[in-house]
Amino acid sequence: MRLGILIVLGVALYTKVNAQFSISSYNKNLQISGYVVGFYNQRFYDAAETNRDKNRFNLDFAVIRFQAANERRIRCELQVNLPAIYSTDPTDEFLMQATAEYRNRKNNFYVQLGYDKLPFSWASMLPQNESVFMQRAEAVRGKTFNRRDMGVTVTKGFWNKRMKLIGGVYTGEGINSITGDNDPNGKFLYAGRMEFGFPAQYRIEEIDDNQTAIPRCLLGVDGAYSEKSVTTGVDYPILTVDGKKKSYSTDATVSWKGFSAHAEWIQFRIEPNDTAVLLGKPTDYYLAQGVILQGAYYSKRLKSTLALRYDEFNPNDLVLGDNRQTLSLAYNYLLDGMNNVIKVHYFHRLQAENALQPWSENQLRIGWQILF
Amino acid sequence: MMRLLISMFGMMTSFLLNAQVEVLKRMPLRCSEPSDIVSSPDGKSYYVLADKYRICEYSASGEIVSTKDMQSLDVEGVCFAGNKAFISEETLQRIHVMDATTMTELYTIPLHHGGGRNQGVEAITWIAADKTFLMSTEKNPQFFMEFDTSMNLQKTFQIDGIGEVSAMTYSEGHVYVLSDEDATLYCLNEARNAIEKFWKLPVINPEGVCYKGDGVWIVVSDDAAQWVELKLMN
Repeated sequence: MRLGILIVLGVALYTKVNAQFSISSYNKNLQISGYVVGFYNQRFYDAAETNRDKNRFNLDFAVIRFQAANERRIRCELQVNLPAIYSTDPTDEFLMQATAEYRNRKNNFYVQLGYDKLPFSWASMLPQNESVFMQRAEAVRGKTFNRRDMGVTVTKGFWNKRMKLIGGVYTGEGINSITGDNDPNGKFLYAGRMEFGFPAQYRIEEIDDNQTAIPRCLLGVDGAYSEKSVTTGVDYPILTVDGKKKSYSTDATVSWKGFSAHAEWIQFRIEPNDTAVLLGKPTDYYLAQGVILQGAYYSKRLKSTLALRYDEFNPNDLVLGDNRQTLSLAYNYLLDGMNNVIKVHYFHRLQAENALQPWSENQLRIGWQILF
Repeated sequence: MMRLLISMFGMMTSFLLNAQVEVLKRMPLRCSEPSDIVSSPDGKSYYVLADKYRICEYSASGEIVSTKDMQSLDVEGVCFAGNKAFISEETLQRIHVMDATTMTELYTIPLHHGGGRNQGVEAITWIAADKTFLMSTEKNPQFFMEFDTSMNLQKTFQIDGIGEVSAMTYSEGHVYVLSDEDATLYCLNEARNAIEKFWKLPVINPEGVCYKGDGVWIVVSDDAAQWVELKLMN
């Protein structure tokens, strides 16, 4: 195993890749790009554990992305992740984006139709290949809400996009929205985000790779609402809910001279039609909620990023102490920016008292990401 | 109020953080997404590319004098050569050639180099002494291209220490290269094959640069939509 990792690191060190190619024809352009991320995962099992199937090599992403744009400011984007064809994990999605978009001339008003990420939660909207970490926090991994959906999204920027309002209406069925029918009640999911960057617009970025000389911050507030008649979800039965699901999130991000920090709070208020899931408590709803706190430092001289993240998720507040808490330490060695990067992510599980089931063991993930 | 706050914040932090550069003035541009600035051939006004499709003419004091719209997707770099202005369009990889007096489009020149749509020809400048256009891609990969007056590619090259470029300008025998990601202005040597000196700029996302005279430089900030006048310390 060690030899394998050394070989991979050795090859990476002598490989300089350059991302993205495009073809232009007078007033239109097609860009072809993509990325591949492979990793080795070592889980530190209890001595008594007999099934150690998580110790493995894995192809996390093999993404191909086509982006077309023309002079009339019509854009189309198609993005697929090939390994997901073979995956049984519902958080692995083959189709990542298929959208058509119009932008106005001032580039501060967009209308997008298609399948894409919902405008909900900064940590969900951050592209995975731009993250120091190799896995998202538990509350936003795709087990608690459908991160992508089919619908219409409208974005409007104000004050040179320092403030952005993003809102949309979606089928609410996630990947099943592409060709399948809606929920029997035929109702939609509504989601929106308002964000404010100061002193300038602030894109959703985890690391301060510009090492900005002037401190910057971003504040965001998100909300989503759906009312469905079928409950789904593999680990947590809140992906869609038979009843009302009200989702809220708020986040703050700051960066300065290579340092960046992010805090996010996410809450799902579940008002089920089936009161049996309320465990006999005198209430008509329960809460699932998560917290993400993280900080990172990017050193251009050392071509490195070091990041620490604490995240917790409580899938049901009616169950005392049912908290999943993880401390993550991540290190990226950037051979050629994020185009060619070695990523190391250590998950240290902080097991909570009275949890319904044991939390996963600690694990170490070492990966290599190449963009083209 | 917002502009005042931003201006005060910028002045304060630049004073505290940077001794290489003296910031003389910050003011709002009153146009969004500025991508380059160039002084007019007579030196009396300045042209800023804005909103991805608009040319805004400013007076020396930074007031908008006139605006002109173009049929383009994202214009990124501008320079004057003779009686023409040359504007690079990044995504569609072409050069718009304009009449320097009226700033109306005469024709376009395709300039395909195959790079990503957001990493096309980001910067262009005219080196009058050599009768050469110098252009640069933004990044991934960043490289410089020299063209003759007929827009024939003469050579491509890279310079150690420069990995990302947002604008270029030529002044008093030297090419100055601006990097927005590094917030740095580089002065190349006369042979244009190495960095002679550089300055870290207290400007967010600097996208355009030109020399105003009397040691004063103008830098435009994209994300903050600001006009910043500064002096560089040697």
